[in-house]
Amino acid sequence: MKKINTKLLALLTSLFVLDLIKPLGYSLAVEFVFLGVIFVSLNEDLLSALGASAILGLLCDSFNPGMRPICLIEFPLICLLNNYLFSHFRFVSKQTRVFIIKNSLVLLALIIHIIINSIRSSLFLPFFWIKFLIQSLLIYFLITYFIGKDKCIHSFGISQ
Amino acid sequence: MYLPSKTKLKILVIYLLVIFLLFLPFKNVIRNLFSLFSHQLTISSSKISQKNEKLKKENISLKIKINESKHLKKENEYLQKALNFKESKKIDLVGVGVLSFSPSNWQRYLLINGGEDMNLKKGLLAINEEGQLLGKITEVKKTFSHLLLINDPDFKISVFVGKFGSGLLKGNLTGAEILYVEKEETIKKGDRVWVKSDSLSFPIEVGKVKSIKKRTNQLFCNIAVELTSESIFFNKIFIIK
Repeated sequence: MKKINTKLLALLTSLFVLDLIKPLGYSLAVEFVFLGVIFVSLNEDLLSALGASAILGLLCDSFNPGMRPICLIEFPLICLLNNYLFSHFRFVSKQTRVFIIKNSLVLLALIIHIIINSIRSSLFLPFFWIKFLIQSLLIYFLITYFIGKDKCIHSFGISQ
Repeated sequence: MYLPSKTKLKILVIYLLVIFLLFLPFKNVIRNLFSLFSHQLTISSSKISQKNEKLKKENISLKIKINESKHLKKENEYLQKALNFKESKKIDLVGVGVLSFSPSNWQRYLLINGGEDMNLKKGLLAINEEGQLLGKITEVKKTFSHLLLINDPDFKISVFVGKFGSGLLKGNLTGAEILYVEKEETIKKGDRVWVKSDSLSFPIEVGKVKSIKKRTNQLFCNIAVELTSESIFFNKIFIIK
């Protein structure tokens, strides 16, 4: 089991703090913690990613009183699914396709998150879903651009 | 070319001399009159300029005062509104700050810095500085409480629509909707949505009717509500005790 480096730990902590303080209020329909979970699941080994996602899920649930522990179950499951699918596609695909696969998995995770939360709250809000998808993808690309460059290369095996 | 004759010229010279001699003693009078007139003119113009300068100075000082008062006004406006609302309605309001938001985007919870220490109780309504409904307290701890915002899917409260209508208001993340409205014929777009409880002697503003939907096989109609308190930033929240 690889240890999560301090840079990534700082990133996850800051993403959680951003979710708590919401600097742009509810105008920004992005769950920073969930993006952190996706990032960890695609760039870290399974055990450390699972641990990180479980801790983040627990933290999220502790700030939502009276709710079932949805995040605690959802985050590790999505982490598991992402990690499995990514490792599976990595072996059968060419390196050029990895970028597309990785981003498709991000999209898939976001769609699963939307479906779970929509069923839980029994709400049908297409406009909100589209807003959430677009904004989340943009923020995710920003995170990977500024922090995840070396991580992506490492995961693809290009650096080796 | 016309040239006057010598006799005519002589007559003209004599005529001018007579005029000159006649008016010579009045020279001083004329000068005095002129000086007096010009003096009066300068006095009045200087008076006007002095007055103008004075007014300009006053204007500048007033402008400075206005700028100062604008700043003070802006600073006090927020609390003034809350104070006016409190005094006009004669209610017991408690101002609390926001500690954090719910990390999930599918929930609209706030953590506020007031709990049992401030005598807050479950079910108390929260309003903004303009007296518009923001949400209600769902859980009270010793030093903090959980506030459910009006647009949370779990938020439910009975409301009045217009003059005669009533229904159950439910949040839907992007706004709110009123369910189980019977007298839909009495409700029209733009009607006021408000809350009134036994403990309150006045209505609390919630929003306006955005649209009315009713299917043919439905017994009740659904009303989409445009919330008045759709501010994305919360500085201070007031709890009605």
